[in-house]
Amino acid sequence: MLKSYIITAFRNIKKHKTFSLINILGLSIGMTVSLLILIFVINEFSYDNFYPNKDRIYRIAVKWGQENNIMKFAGSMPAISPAINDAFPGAIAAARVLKAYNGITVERKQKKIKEENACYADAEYFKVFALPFISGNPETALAEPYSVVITKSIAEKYFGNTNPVGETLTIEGDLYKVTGLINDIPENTHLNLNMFISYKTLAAKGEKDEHPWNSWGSVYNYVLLKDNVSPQSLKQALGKELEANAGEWFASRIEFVIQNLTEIHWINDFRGDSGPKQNKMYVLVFLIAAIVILAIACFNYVNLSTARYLERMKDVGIRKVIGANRSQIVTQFLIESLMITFLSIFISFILFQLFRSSAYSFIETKIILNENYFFSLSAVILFMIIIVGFIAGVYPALFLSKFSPTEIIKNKVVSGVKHFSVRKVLVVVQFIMSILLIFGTVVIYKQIDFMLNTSLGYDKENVVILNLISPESKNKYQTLKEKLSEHSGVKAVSGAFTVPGINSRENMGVKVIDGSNEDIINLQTVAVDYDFVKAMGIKIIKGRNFSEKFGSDINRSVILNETAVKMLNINNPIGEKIGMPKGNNKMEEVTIVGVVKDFNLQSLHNKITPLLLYLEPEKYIAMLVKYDPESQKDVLAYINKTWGEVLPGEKPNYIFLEDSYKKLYKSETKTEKLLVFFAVLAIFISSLGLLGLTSFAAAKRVKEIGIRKVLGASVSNIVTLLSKEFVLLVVVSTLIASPVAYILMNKWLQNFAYRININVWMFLISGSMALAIALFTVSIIAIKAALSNPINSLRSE
Amino acid sequence: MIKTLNLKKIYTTEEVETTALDNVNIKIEEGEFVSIMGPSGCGKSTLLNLLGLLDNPSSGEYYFLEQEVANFSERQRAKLRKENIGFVFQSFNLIDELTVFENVELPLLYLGYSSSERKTRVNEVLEQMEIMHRRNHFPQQLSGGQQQRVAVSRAIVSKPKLILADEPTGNLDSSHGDEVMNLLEELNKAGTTVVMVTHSPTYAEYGDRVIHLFDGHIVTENYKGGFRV
Repeated sequence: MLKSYIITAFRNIKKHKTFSLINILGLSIGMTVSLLILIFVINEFSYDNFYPNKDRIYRIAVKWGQENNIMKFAGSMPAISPAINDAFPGAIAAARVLKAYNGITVERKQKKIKEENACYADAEYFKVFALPFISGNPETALAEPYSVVITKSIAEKYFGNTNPVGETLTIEGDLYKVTGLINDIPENTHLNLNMFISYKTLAAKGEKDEHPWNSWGSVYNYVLLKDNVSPQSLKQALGKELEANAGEWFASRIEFVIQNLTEIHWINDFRGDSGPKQNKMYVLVFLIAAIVILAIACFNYVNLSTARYLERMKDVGIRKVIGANRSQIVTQFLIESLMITFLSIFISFILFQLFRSSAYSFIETKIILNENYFFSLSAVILFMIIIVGFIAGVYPALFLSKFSPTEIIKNKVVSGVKHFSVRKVLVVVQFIMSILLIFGTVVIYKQIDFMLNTSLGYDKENVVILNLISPESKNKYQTLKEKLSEHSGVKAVSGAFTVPGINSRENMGVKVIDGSNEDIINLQTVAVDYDFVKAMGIKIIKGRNFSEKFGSDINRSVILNETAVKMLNINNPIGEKIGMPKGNNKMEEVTIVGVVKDFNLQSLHNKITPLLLYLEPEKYIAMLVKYDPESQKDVLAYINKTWGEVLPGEKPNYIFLEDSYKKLYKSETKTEKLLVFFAVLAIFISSLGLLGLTSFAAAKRVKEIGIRKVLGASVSNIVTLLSKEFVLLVVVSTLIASPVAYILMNKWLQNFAYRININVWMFLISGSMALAIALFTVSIIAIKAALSNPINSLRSE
Repeated sequence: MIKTLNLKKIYTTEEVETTALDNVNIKIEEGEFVSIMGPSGCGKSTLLNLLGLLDNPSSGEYYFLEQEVANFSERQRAKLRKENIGFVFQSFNLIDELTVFENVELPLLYLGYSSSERKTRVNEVLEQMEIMHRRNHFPQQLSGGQQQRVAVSRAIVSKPKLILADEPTGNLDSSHGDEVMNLLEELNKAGTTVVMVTHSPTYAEYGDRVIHLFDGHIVTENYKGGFRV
């Protein structure tokens, strides 16, 4: 029986080439996109999922600050893990990890290699993460100073195939004993490590105070909790411990954040975090896009299959007359759809292999190719065959199998099948999806355009940012500034702590001089140099800029923006004194010497914040060089040359301010590009379906067209006749899609403090585009039908 | 084999109610060859559909093989149909995507015969119908007469007790028509009951009895050698 079904299905696919081609093409494209996205989604959700106790492993992170001035740190106090191990019975073990950020040099025999993925870890590390040992004792491996646990690939690099446990390695000039060998850790983790040096080594080398409660940032603390112990109870216990050890003032400004291991990959806003990060929303948008594209392709199958009911009725009728029951007919059609799906997935697998690397590099994702990947790939393919084959096949199967055999005996078509309501609904849904994607693209495009071209209150053109990365470059700032200023094309040079696109932010509580502690206003403070205002082209609206002529400007003078003046409620700001915290958090008196027009240092996602500029050369992390656009080339060459002279062996690390600003909208730009891609695909697949439907409609009405032509209908009459219904469907789709699009995109726009308004023309453009494409598609067939000789169609009848 | 009592079939559309068959009483014994004649729209095909269990009557009783089947479900009718009835149509109704062999094999597939049994039976029938040499051809590659021979082969392959033929010669020229009628006669002689709808008085004469329908009523039953009103 199965063989007969397969043979029939195969011959049907072969016989109806256009239909099969449209279906297979649509499904292949849909499946390729879905395959790419599903593998991406699985990859993203796989992070840290391989650890056996993943649901009970947590990282303790820290929030520091109050109200509007909160900073988040992935690292926490090195005192935490020992305190948990000593006094928190709900935990099985806790361990610290300190990554060797600058790498470590490992030597053995003639080999001397810089290893980038090394860390210092507590002895309890392997208890928390339960990584199995190939050799060595996990309990004691990191118990002593100068011991190291290595992965298989590191072992092979330095020891070949011999067991390294008990052997020694020279790390940063000291001798370490290899105490354990573990398998390589899968790459889909936020902690990509291959060498674990005992944490005790740090104390032995006298590098770190082992248990501070008042400093944090670079050490990660991980804890494995017992079953049924809530992370909340750990948070409370740690809060008490902190207050007891670091005092009330400190404790009131710290909040511990207990992060589950599998969530860490999705957490983007903690400083000093480790491993690749992903935005969950972004991944979910992708997932929805994949489902939409696949659904559109499936709808094509459903529509085209049911549109062919006239042809298939005979087959169904005969089979029923000679004894087939409905389930046998349903099975036959399901097998046919499964075969189409199978062919499509075969093509999409080839397309997937061809486009995989470029697609993933476009979305800047690394797909980890391990055995899980191949398992996921096979599972996704199988899943798609079953789901798509079934979803696409089940409605046509039920629809086509319902015909009564009497109709075939009578050789008559069932009159009740004129309405095709499901088919219309599916076409409408396809176009709603396409219009939503087009509309989304239009709105995002306009918002990005708005963000890139709106005046920010400063002049982002013709400014180059030179990052002060090395301590030497920071020390030589003054020399660099002087030398660079000598070039005639350079208009201004200034150091700064914060520049657009560079993630550094400092906030301080500032108050009017006679105000109480309750009057403290949190301001963003930016350490700048004398020429910052000039280099950025910021407008001074009251008072003056910083000047070297006034020796008192350093440490004593500040410039505020308009918002800060408003928030501090000062009527005549120039000359007014305010208190701002200096070293040891003591309030010191400073004078307002100028007020600048509000400017936006951040992206337009954020409102302009109250801002204070002050002179503090030690805090500069970047240099801004404003140049004459005509001498850009000369200036850049001069910067390179000067940098090399002042800092031998170092190259300048620079970015144009304009590009740095654009980077703030990287995620939006990426989403826009992807939406364009998805919109094009969606409309293409929908149009393919429309093409098929129109040709069936034209074939069905061939006699009618012939008669109308004989009676005098023009080509445009016939084209209108055939297009009318589909055009109406697209209009209905636009009407339904518009409010949905408005709600969705309006919600998206809420992410921006400064945003565009959604205008009627955006709906019009989306609807017209869909309509134009639909009309074009339908016209191809309609014109062909209209131009055919009526005699032929009537004779064939 | 077949007995109907006051069989009625009414077709209802939104605007019109049409009585296709009105109080039809027929009795057909096993081994009979019955021809049904009448003008277009008199209810011949409707009667054949009801007798062939393709449709249920609106009222009345229908006994098939001593069983009252008038109110059988589609599933029950399908089972009875595939086990006992073979159909031959005016337009042959072969499946275009299947070869001659596969078309004839189809009823056996639905009856769950094994592959080897199917092969033997189909080959036997194709030999008997002298169409063996065309077994791997598709219907479109055959002449009308050959197609109808395939259709007859398909109707008899499962050895049904009853063959219902709806104008089997309607699409054929006279020589091919005669050929098909001879086949049906042979089958009848071999014991199969045949009920045939035809427009042709000549071919109707092949039957032991000719039933004339008009406006859904039986108007005459014409027996060979006798005449009853």
